Amino acid sequence: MTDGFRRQRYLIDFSLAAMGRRKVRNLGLLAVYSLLVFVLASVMLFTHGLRQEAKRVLAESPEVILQRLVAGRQDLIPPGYLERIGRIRGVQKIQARLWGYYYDPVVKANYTFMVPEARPLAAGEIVIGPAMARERGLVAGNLISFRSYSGRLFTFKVAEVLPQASELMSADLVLLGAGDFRAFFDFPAGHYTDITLTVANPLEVRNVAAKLAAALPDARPILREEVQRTYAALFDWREGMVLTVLSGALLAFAIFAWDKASGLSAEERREIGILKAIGWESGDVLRMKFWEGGLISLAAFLLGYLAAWVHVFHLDGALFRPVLQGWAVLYPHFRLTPEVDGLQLATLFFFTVFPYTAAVLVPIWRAAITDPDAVMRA
Amino acid sequence: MSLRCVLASLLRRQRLGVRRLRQGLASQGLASRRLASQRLASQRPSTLALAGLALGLAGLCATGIEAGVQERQPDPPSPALVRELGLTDLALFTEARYTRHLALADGHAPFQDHPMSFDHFPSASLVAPPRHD
Amino acid sequence: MLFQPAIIALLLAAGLGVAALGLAAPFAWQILRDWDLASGSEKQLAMERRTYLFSALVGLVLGMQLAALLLFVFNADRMAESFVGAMCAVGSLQVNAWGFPALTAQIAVFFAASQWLLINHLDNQARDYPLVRLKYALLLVLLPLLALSFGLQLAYFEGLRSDVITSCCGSLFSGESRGISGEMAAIEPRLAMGFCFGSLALAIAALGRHALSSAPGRANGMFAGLAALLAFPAAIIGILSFLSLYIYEHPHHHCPFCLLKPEYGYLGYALYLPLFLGCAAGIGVGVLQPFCRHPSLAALVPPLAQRLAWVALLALVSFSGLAVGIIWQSRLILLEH
Repeated sequence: MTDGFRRQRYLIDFSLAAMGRRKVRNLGLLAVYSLLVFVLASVMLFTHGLRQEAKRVLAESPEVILQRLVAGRQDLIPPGYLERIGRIRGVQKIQARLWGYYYDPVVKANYTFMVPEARPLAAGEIVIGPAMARERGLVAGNLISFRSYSGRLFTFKVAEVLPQASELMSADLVLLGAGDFRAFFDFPAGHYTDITLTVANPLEVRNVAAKLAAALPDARPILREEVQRTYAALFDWREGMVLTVLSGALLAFAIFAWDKASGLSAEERREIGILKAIGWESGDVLRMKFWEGGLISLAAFLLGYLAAWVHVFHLDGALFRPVLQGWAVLYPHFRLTPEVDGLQLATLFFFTVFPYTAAVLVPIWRAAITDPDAVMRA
Repeated sequence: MSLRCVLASLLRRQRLGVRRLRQGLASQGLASRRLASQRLASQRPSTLALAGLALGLAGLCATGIEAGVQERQPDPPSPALVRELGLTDLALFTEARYTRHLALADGHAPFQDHPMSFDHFPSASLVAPPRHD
Repeated sequence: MLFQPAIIALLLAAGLGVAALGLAAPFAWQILRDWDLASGSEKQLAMERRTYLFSALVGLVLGMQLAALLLFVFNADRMAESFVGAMCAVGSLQVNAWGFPALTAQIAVFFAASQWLLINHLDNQARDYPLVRLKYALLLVLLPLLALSFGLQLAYFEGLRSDVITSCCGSLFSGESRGISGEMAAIEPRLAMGFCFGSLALAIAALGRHALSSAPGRANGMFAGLAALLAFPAAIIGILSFLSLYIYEHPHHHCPFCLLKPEYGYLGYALYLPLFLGCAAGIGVGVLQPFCRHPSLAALVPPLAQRLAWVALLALVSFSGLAVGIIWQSRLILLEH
């Protein structure tokens, strides 16, 4: 055991010394390789962090949401609709919700106006989301006016700004009382936006949805697990898209590595020739070259992954911010919860180390089988 | 003629002297630097490389520890807010209602403005097409 | 559904494996026909040089397959959340008919690949290519196996639809269900425990004797290999029929995959990794024995076999120790005294 270990260590020593003789080339390779790992790892860590955040947070959202559709579009819940649902076994609570969108022409942003049932607000008072507060420069106690869709100007007092830590969910929220909401939007009396149902037993949720769909043919029940799967699929899809785009980069890197490994310089050839002349076997040369590749790819993987970790979880994914910010005015500032995922790590390792190893295999073999006399005579 | 020769040789000597002096200084500087890094250099390269890799692996373990520590921290406010308000979506893209509330948008939402209309919000290219179920 | 990094990685690994073996197959045929170490012909020299390339190539892709088994199970476990009705890996493997065959094929590939890598390792240490014909003949056997595994995985991942409602472990691994999984789960616990721990003890004893004795015989090594081969199904039956019950502390939940979940502290990985490692190494001890006869390998086989026996011994002991610990700690009482 120790003998084999010592032998491998001498091989490492030797390959490091050989790499040191071509410092620029190997450092360049290491830099490009680490950068590639960094980009791929950043994408994976970022989407995974978002996916986990969505999963964690959405576990608390209502079990069933009921919309009413008219000609394929969501419509208001008319009076008497709630009563038609009646009593369904397993449903703990039925609640009609009031919410809607408002376009603020001042900063050209969309807000989500919502009436919180559990948090009674005095007339003329609102609670706002942190991104909106930042955009409009508001703090608790300030006054703000909105011009409603009917043309009238409404002035509200900001009672509170929602905590910054919840920004991923609440960036654009404006919470206000039911009376204010109806007056501001000229919302028809007795109508609601949609209905939420609380179901205690998770096994009952599908039955409840089936009963709802049977009782109300124009209704569209949306289950919490559907919402969660929508988000899981969203982030999977986006990750897949980005990785597909980046696979071009991977391929380019494999070609680069192939080129680097196959373009042996005359000096390197002579080196291998001398090694073989003094008694090295093809297997030894192969092993040395594998150590060379292994050290580079391991170092690049570790460097790239750790840099990506710092980028995503400590610098808030600064490079991806512009993509996410998109074209909306309000965008959330959030910090993802760090999480290590073994599957992801294994996949990343496979995607980066495997192409490199495969690409350099044949050139390395070519080098290893060279006859010493053929090299030295040339 | 001879004067010129003497001058030239003098000049050459002077230049040589300056070069030698420079070389000497440089080698002295190198030597002192070498002394400083002698310890590092006396290590076998494999020791350094393996130590570097071990450091990287330690960093990898540190990320795991960091994640574990973060997990044990008290509940942040968002789940509580979601429970209270019954929120259903992340506020990632606020520009259109079908990107703001992805889960609540129906399958027709992106193309709803008039028949044959195109989707005109760029962030819709970042989100998956709506599910038909 | 195909659009997930882990799935792409798995398919890529299997596809590259098939491609590499396919590339090596004509060469393997040539070796079987024309290999003659005594000859100094140009052809023989070229073949000798090429063995380095193909050994390295096949070693790489088969080594990948060892890791792919872990990745496959890991991925199945993770995908469960995207299927209606799936709670763990069983649910996602049951989404279509190809899930479990793909897993079985992957396990077969794991054991076959590990033995090939072992033989390759031994062959590389000797100077006169003693096992080269055997190695390449085995390669020709491995190719269809790997191709089958790749085809099954492709069919499985291609057929994944998230709107299929699948049934999960509760229905597959219950005593009432028919089929081999149900049968294994329904074995009387006392009998299953006896069989499982009996064969584990046998394997540990045989491996221990091989590892500790200064001149272990060939028969002893063969026996240790057979015992390790038997210990694998015995341990799986043990997990299915009683160990899972002790872990979940529930008298009817026989699932071998829920163990992998964080709710149970990832116990499954602590059980399966040593089990697979130990069985593969233990079988290797037996596989190596016939090569003792070869003059150039006679000095190489015993130390290698002994080292493998140590690995297998430690792994199986840790598996058994963990299993006993689980039963000890559990609040479920399956056997009355």
